[in-house]
Amino acid sequence: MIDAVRPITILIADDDAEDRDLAQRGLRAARLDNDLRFVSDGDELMDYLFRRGRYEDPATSPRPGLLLLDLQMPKRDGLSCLKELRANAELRALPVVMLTTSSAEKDVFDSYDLGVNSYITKPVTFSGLVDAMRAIGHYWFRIVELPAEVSK
Amino acid sequence: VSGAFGGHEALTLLLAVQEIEASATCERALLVGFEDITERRQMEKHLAWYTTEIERSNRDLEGYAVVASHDLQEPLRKIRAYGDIILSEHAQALPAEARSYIARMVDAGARMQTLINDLLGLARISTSPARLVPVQLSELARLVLLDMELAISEAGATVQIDGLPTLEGDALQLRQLLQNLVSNALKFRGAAPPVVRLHAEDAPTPALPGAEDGAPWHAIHVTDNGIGFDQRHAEAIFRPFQRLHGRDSYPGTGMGLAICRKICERHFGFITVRSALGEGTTFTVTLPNRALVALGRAA
Repeated sequence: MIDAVRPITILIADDDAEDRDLAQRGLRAARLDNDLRFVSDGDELMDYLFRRGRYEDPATSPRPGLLLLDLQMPKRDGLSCLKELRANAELRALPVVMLTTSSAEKDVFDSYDLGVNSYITKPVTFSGLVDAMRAIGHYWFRIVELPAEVSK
Repeated sequence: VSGAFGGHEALTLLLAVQEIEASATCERALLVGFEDITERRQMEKHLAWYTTEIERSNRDLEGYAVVASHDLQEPLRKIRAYGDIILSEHAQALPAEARSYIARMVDAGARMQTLINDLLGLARISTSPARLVPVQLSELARLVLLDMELAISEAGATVQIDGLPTLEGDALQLRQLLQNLVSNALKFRGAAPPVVRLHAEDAPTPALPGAEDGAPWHAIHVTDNGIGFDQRHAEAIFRPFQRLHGRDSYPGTGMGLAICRKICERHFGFITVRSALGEGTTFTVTLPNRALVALGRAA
């Protein structure tokens, strides 16, 4: 159950429309879909996070409480985005979960090296995806304490 | 000595000089011999080039396998996920026959996933660098048995480890090698409770290109009392996806022994098998004690 007074914005960065759809269905089944936002490449993700262009208005582009990040995206890949937001004072505490098809040792290593909070290989079944989403939501929104500016 | 000698093209000559005993007619004498080794040198160069070329092309191929299996998973995951959604959310709307067809598609997708994962596992062994460090095989085997405790007790098996050597290798890969062999021994068990024995002996230097005479080699045997197989399949069983039994009687994709062979090759050794139907099987892994030294490849 999610806090009804405080909708949590989850931002999903994935270039694949079907994966965005599956993530949305998974989060809905895990009852975490009260405020989902989607971006489909690295540039758009950075525009959203830094409130540029069509994401200028904080009222329509709220700071996410959690970012689900794909590794391979056009224009700018997940690692490069991660690097930039970890270097930014306002964004460095944002929980970032890699959600990717790659299980290559190097991708896992590089992601943690650049400060990702968790690395998840996209589950191959839908029930596996729902379980993963439920666990992510439970952990980040129920269990852990986050600094005030992130949880706002 | 390399150079052009009187009218010939560039030649490589082997020059040997030896002082011979003085005789009555002269105080000092030198015996000088020339051998034309031009052709031999060219052959060696060609062979070295050829070997590097083959190794490079194998690495390329295996790199493609990693990428391909990764890209193959992507659409497959969606087939399975949307199949799951149909079955969980729309099952009532479908006639029973349609439900069963979709369930079969989802099952087939799961099977394909396993095949891809196993192929990826095989390709990864070839593309990840082997980290060669001294490995105590007895200790490694003990860890493998600990991992497999449940499977061993469920099979009612006895697994015995007798004095395995310490050799240079990649601990993770060698562990997988032993685990695959022991788990095969349990899987293909006969009516009697399985008895598996791991033991080793010194092996003669094998006739491999570059193998240095006298460098220590080990033969590690994994012997079982299982169902065995006809010796004429001894080569085939090491091929990827090769199976001697139907999927229903013995599970698995037929990749385990291909992985074993690849690991042995990565350690500059090889694997062989002796078996007969109903009389158990012995796998023999032959590995150099120090791979790079034994094959004259030490940096």
